[in-house]
Amino acid sequence: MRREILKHKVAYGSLLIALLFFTISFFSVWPNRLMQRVLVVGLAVFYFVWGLTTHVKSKKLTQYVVMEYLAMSLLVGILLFLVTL
Amino acid sequence: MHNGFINMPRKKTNRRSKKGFTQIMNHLFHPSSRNNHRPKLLHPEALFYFSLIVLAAFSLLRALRFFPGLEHTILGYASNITPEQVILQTNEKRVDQGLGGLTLNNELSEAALAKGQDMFTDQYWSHTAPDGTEPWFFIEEANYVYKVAGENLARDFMNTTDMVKAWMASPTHKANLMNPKFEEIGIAVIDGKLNGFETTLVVQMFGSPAAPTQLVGSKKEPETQLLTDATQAEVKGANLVDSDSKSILAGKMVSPVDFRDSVLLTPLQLTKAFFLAVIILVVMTLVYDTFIINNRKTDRLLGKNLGHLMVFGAVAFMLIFFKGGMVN
Repeated sequence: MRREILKHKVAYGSLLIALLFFTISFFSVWPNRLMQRVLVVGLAVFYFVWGLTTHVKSKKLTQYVVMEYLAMSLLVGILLFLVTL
Repeated sequence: MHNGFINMPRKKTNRRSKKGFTQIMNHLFHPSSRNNHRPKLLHPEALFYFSLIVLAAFSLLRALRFFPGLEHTILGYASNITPEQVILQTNEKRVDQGLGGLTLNNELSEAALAKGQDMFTDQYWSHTAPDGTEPWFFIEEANYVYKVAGENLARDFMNTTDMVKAWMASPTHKANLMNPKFEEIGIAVIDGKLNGFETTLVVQMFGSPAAPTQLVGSKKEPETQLLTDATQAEVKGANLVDSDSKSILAGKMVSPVDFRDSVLLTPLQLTKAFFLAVIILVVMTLVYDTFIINNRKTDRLLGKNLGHLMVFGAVAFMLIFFKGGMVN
């Protein structure tokens, strides 16, 4: 695990920064539900793009990986979007 | 005539079913050659099914409103907002900003109650009713003659502190709360069903009474200024109203529901609990998969478990600390 983090420290670092940004923004725009939903969609799209980018860089992008990130992003987006309804 | 299945000893059946159960569990959670070295639960199609299950469960929860008896045994609304606290906290915020506190006015409270009841009757959630009725109508109906008036609305909040925080976080609502022109306040906290959902509406009416010199012989010229969220209105003059004809309800705030049922879960709590259960299941499977694969030193062409764990960690945090309630 440690080796994996060190090997892809830029990728995980950028993900961590983005997650902190989305989490802080999600709470700071409260009680504006519309903005919260926009941020949720942004988070889901970002994670999908992040997944594809990191796998393209490591030349390990397959159709299965694309589907996995799509499914994960969709689940993440649905969970947060529905709670704001 | 017999078949082997009927005469099969009971122990063997149990053993077979246990074996079947173990196989299913292994297939779902344990990475092996049978599931392409990835727990079936983490396969894209399984994750798509999770999304569908989440959507179905959410729709089911929403559909509970069509079964009032059932809804009331499982869900309810447990708001503990009181008009006294709303006034107290509003005045605290004003004093913090160096402004004077607002005085409770019974006509404004009556107007707030009428507005709240109108929203439940006509099923809307807005400053302006579907028929175009504006908040000032209710204030005038309550015989409150104002030079400046304003309205803040809130719904679905569990407590007064969160509700006042939400108003303060919204620039237009904060403008009403901190308006130095306002001198009086009226509050109504009303429970009811809005669009099929049990909720607590809070209507906060602000006003500044027209001075007697302005009232005499002057004609009412309403100059309404409708802001995006919170609403304010100002009139230069107002008709003379005999103050003796107003009913005096000194010190009494309007809250028609004095007793509220104690409830096990609110719809938001139930939604959050179910969603967190889904996240915990996915996260536990990801952790177990990472542990097994790290020990095996296997290389797979799959998504990054650590990335998934980080995202689900952030989502769980947002879900846990998500606050309900809306202001308008």
